[in-house]
Amino acid sequence: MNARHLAALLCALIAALGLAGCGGGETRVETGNREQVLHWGNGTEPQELDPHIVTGMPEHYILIALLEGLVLKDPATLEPIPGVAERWEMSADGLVYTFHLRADARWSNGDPVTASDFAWSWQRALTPSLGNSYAYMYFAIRNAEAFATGKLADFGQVGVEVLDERTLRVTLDHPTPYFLQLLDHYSMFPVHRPTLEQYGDPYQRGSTWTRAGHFVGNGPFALDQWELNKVVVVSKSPTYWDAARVKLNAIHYYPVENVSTEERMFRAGQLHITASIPPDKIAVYRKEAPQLLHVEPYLGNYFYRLNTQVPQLADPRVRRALAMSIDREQIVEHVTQGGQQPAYTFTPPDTLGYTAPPGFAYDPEGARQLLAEAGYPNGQGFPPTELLYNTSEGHRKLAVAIQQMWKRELNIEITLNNQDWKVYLDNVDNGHYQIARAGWIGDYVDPNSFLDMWVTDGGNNRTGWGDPRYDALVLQCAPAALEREARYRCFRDAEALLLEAMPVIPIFFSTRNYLRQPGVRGLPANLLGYPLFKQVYLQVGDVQSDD
Amino acid sequence: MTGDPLAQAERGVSLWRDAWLRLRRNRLAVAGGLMLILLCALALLTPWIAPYDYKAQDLALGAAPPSAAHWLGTDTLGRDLLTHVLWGGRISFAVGFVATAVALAIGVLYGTVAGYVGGRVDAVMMRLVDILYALPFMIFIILLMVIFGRNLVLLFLAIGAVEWLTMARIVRGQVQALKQQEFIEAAVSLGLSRWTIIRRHLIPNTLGPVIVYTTLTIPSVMLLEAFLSFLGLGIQPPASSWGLLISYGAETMEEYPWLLIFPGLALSLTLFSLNFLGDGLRDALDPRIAKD
Repeated sequence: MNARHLAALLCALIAALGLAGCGGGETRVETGNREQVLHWGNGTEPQELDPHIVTGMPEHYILIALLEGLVLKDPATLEPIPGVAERWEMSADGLVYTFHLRADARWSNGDPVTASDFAWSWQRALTPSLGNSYAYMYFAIRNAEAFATGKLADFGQVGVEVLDERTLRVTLDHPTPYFLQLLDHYSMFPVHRPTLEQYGDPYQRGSTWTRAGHFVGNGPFALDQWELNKVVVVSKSPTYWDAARVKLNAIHYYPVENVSTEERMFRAGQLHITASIPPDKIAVYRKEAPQLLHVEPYLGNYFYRLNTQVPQLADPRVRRALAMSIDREQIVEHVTQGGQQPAYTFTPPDTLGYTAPPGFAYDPEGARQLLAEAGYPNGQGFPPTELLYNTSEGHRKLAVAIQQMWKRELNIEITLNNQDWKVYLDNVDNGHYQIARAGWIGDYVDPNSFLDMWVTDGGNNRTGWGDPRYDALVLQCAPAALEREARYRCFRDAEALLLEAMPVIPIFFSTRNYLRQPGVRGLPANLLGYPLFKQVYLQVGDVQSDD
Repeated sequence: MTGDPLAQAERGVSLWRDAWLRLRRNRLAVAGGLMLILLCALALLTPWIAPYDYKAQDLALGAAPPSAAHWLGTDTLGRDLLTHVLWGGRISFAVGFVATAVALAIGVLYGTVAGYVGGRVDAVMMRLVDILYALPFMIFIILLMVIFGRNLVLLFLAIGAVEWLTMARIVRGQVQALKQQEFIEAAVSLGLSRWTIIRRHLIPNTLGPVIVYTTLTIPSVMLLEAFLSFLGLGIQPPASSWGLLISYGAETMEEYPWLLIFPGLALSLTLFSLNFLGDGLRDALDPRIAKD
């Protein structure tokens, strides 16, 4: 046993010394540039590769390479561009969309991608037994919500209609300005029916159809290899309709949870692009290699979920007290250090012209008072409460800082617990937590993407909080509004209710900070951090980045 | 070594005095022992001598190199590193000693019984040890922590519960050799019960190798704790141990080297001291080496 510990320590030491031993010869990045193989730091190991089950960003980056929806986004403008559908029409009242699928769209096994593939996939995604957290992405479609909640058993009544194998008609419940943007989200991607039926029950979790060798997709890349905790390899798919324009031969996704390790891998020429950067390194890169550091605006926020089923967190006064005693200015300036903005609302400011008024302020005195009113004067009698985060240096640092702020201002004891990404997701999903760290990146550019998740029992709510007034504002008032200002008024009222009840504590609005080698092209900055992999290519030689 | 007058008259006292004299002549071992006493004293006195509250942060200060106010500098949240090294030492020492004591208690008892009773009992007991050896012990600890939840005492016990196997083997071998010696036969012929023989004669005579192995177990347990804490199964912030301080320090070693250097120094110093002391004890307690 001694020897094993020692070996582990030695390995850690070697890794800590910046992998000095790997010098000599060509780095992985240089080889990749020559062979058009992109090495992508993907944060964590994907939970799954089933588009109707997963909920995270690491999965997103893999799935947009493997599958393609009806419509894509232009990465520079985020405007819809043709995907599997070569064109589409919208009726004058904004309720009926007709999609014309291209004739040459193919699955990776050569089968054509048809309108009935989409209809079947969407029906699967909405089937309650699958437990799709993102089922609500479909709720703009007529009767989709009734079907997803089990009130309606017949999918024929849902507003999805196969006119012929190349024409799909979708009827909405209400005009939805962001509907085309939704089609590019993995929850609305098609899946290959024969493959799903071959490897288990398509309506249950735990099927093996997503394994390498089984997976059949319709995206620009096909799944080659999935080595747990090591790498996911996708390579150019010859059957993809636009294969002529795909320049990369392969993408290797590395699940590197430790941001410091990731940064060292980048420096050693093992990654083209990282998922993030350790906060302490930002200043170093600004000074010494600013061309490698990318700080981009990001439509996302960082917050703590509070489980409202936990007795001491059931009282909104306690939840507000917790929110009001965090000094966000200090946090963005000294802890995260990456140009983030303190958050006093849930929706990022100016999301498609929508800005909510601040729902609270940093006010330790007021927080103490609220906590006393809730029955815990000076924190006395407040039960020990646990803050859960997924293992990562950045989350830990922030959690320790906030733990101390709560101790100092409210005199309450919060213990910390870190878990691996999959375990953490599972526990948050099942409500096995008290306070849990979370981040939310808009799925599309509209305040709805930040607000519809908090409706009662929403798939991504997970706090146990619900308020019928809130549901009415988000699900009825806003969709029914005819013009933007009226719609945003509904959202502002809803957000005020949310912040009053505070089932979630907004902490800051994110920026997307990462490192990128100069040879990577075709990745323009956008609010969603959305890459269109078929446009990405690698340039040999050390040239200045120009996008 | 009191009790049996025969054994005492023949070798008891002189063996221990001899060992002590030999140990004293080994300078490295003495230095190691003194250093350990000093470190233990620091760990015990931490609540009174630590310069700052270990939870106190100064976000605006951030990571600062060693200065008059903070002798070892501060970490990225502006917490005093000296304070953290002192408090971390307490936990590392506690884990090291408690887990080792658990391993010691189980291993010595188990090994002695197996070795002395022998025969079928021995075979069954040792096969059980072999089976446990084959189990991935990390998974065993992780399962324990997951089932019973995280708490410090359980962590100590869990580590102890997987570290006793080697100890049991060493002790069993030692006992088997001792069993053949005359003084045991004498004890048997005097009509002493098995338990008394184990307690009075066998365990005390295995102490030499046991002490040596113990000094080697303590550092390995400290490293194991660091590993578990890093996985989120051991100590959680704001508390920390040396292992944790080192693993965090390693992540920012280029910007803030002192965060790695000082906890690393503290751990190395302890491990060196234990190893020197262990080596010295081995030489001192093994009569065959002493005759050279």
